[in-house]
Amino acid sequence: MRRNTSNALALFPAALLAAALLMAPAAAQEQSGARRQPSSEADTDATPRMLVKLRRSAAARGANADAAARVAARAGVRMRATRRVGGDLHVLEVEDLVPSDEALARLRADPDVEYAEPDRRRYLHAIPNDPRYTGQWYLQTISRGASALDAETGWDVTSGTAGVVVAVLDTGVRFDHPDLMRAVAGGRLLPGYDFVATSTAANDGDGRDADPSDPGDWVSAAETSTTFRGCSAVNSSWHGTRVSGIIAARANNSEGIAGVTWAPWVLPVRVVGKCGGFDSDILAALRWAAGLHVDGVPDNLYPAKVVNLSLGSIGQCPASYTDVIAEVVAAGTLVVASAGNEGGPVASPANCPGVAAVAGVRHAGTKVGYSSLGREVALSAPAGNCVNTNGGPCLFSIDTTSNAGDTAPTTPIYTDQLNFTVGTSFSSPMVAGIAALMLSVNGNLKPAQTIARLEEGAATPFPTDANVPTCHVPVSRFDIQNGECNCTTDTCGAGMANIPGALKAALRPIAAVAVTGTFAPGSNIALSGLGSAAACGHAIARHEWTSVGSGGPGITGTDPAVAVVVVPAAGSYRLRLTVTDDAGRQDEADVTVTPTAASTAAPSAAGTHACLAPVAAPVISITLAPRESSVELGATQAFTATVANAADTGVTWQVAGVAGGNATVGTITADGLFSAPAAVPSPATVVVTAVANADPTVVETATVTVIPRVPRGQAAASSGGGGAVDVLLAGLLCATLVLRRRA
Amino acid sequence: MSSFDTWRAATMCSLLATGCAAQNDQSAADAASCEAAIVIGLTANTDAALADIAGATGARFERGAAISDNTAAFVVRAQGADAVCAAVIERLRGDARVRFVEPDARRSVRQEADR
Repeated sequence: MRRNTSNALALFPAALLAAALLMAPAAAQEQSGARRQPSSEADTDATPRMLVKLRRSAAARGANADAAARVAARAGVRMRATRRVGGDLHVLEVEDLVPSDEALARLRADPDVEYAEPDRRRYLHAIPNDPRYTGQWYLQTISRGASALDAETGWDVTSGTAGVVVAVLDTGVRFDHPDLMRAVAGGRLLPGYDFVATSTAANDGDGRDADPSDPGDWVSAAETSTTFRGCSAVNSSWHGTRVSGIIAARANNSEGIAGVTWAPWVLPVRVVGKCGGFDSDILAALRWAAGLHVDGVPDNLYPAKVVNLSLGSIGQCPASYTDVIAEVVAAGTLVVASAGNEGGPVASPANCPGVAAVAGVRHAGTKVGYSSLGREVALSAPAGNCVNTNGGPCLFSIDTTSNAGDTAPTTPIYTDQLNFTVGTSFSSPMVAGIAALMLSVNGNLKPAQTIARLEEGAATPFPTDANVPTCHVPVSRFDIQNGECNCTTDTCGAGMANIPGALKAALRPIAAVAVTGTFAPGSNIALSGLGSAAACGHAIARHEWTSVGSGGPGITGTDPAVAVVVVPAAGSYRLRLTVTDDAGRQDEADVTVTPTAASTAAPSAAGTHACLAPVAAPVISITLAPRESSVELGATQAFTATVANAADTGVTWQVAGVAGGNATVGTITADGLFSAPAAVPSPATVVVTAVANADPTVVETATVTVIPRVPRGQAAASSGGGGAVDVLLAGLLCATLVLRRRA
Repeated sequence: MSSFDTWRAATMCSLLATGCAAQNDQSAADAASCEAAIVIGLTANTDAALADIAGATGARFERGAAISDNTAAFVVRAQGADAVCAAVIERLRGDARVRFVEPDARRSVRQEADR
């Protein structure tokens, strides 16, 4: 049953939530967005109510309620009351607040108890108040489609934190979309960068620059036979804006749609212009997005934890991508990419090692006809399917943010069933967004771990339709399956992306094993699990080492986190570390010990940043030059003001607090050209102020000293107006004089 | 372009048989020329490989926008049909002083125009 929570949610404006997030202690970061539950699951474990199911044999020995009371008494649980829920299930209301894990352990140890659990509070699912959310079937529960992500359940755990940056390598973005907006204006978009190096393709008058705004990527019919031969005539796609909206449309703002995430940032990185994007730009942008240096480009102040690539083309993974993606992954950045729309083998770069490739499924969970497929796919997500293939509304469009312009940008709009969005391009950002949510609750997850846990949390099995064939792994690029087919784990990945499942997996601790000691038969080595780490807001409660299989060694040592074992003279044995956090979640790591080494897939240390520090939104700033100058009476001085992090980079000028100045203190034009007055003012030094149009509270000042005219031939101490030329001339004169004297 | 890039470009040009300026003029005027955008996996000796191949074939290699220290975009230009450029690229690909040579391919967004 759907519950309308919009009134309650209206009490939590997004701005307040964002501010609260920035100030929240680490333990509270598991939550954001519309919260109506305690800060962690562990908190609710302290409830003085427990659910106990008795075994049939126990219930048969007497009255059911009596049996429950007896069990409670044996466990030392003082009850206030007991109530039968149904069958052999009872709720025990506990008299005093005993530590739940101890009491539960005693109850579970009782042979008459089948299971005992805390009777937890449950909370309304977070449903955002965005009016177009109703059309976002893909975020809702599976009642709207078997492949829906069930964000509503997931958002009860987290809707993300501002500690995560998701880079969108795409056509750029429309900063003016009210459901996206610049971070400085309270939106979700960081400044980003434009990596399109070819000015004709960039369509913004230059090559690489600091503005990733999308000017449109339309290709005219005339251009298809000239500049963009080989490309088709198309309208602007606003593709980057569409992708960004899926990841991060401002949620719960009573406007438009909701993104998968409500707090993480989007870093728009423009790599696609007219007629596509070149590998050389995409590769450079990948590195930059991950925080790696690229010559000629200012370093990225907001390194991304996740990069989304809703682009590609058929073919094997190029060596250059293998290289660069390895660098990016080593930097701790997850790459998520769309599988492709050819219905054939997974396209590149989705098929590159280390990439989370995302295939597209229909609302029903079968492969959508156009989606490419194969063993490289990590998991699948909704891609959009219309059902009405011969007209009528596209019933399962991926509604998102866009722009109305056919060529240049015009009005911000949303896509819907009549102006639809479909393609694996839109499956990928769903998974990128889910990854951002996962990192919000467990920032220690490395890219490979995140992929493994995305797969672990995916919904399975894939639904099947008896009327469609089973998908098969393409045997060549010509083996096209462009019709609906029943997914398999060989073709569509581990399952269907699922937000609560992914978060459940992400919240598990990370087992880590460090090995110390000398490998010599008979000598002791130490396997330490102390580097294991719990998710944000949690702690490791227990380490346990066990031997797997027969022939294992005796485990010694006083610290349960550290197994001290003897190196075998021959053969090998396997040990398992199980770490349990304070909420009972577990992770395991296996270690194989041979006479010469100990090997494990686990990291030696899980990391120390389970709670990622919030990334502060950029602020508008002005750089004003020159900061100090002097100018002769009647002369001029040009000032330049560079505004950073604002869409409107213009300023207004003041002299001594007077807009445009006046005849007494001097005047200044809209372009920043200061003209000294006819007489030296008092005081002679006046303040020139640049006021940002984007935010009039942001100002920067410089001083200019008005000095009397300097008689010709003197090297005046002026650096204003023609002063610099004067100094140069004076310098030349001096040099000439010196040379003459030496001669 | 960084000073390092500038230096590399200048070095590259100086290694080639003819001057950069003359080549640029020629490129614009000569309709029977080919060009191809490529991505090269660099080694410490890649510049020498490019110079050798340029000297042997008359092709020119112009460095494009930066990617990384060991990967770079280039445009190869040569006199003749596309097959001439392809041959130059194959020759470069076979040179042990480069790690790989790949086309600087266009990638497109994965939005379906049709339903």
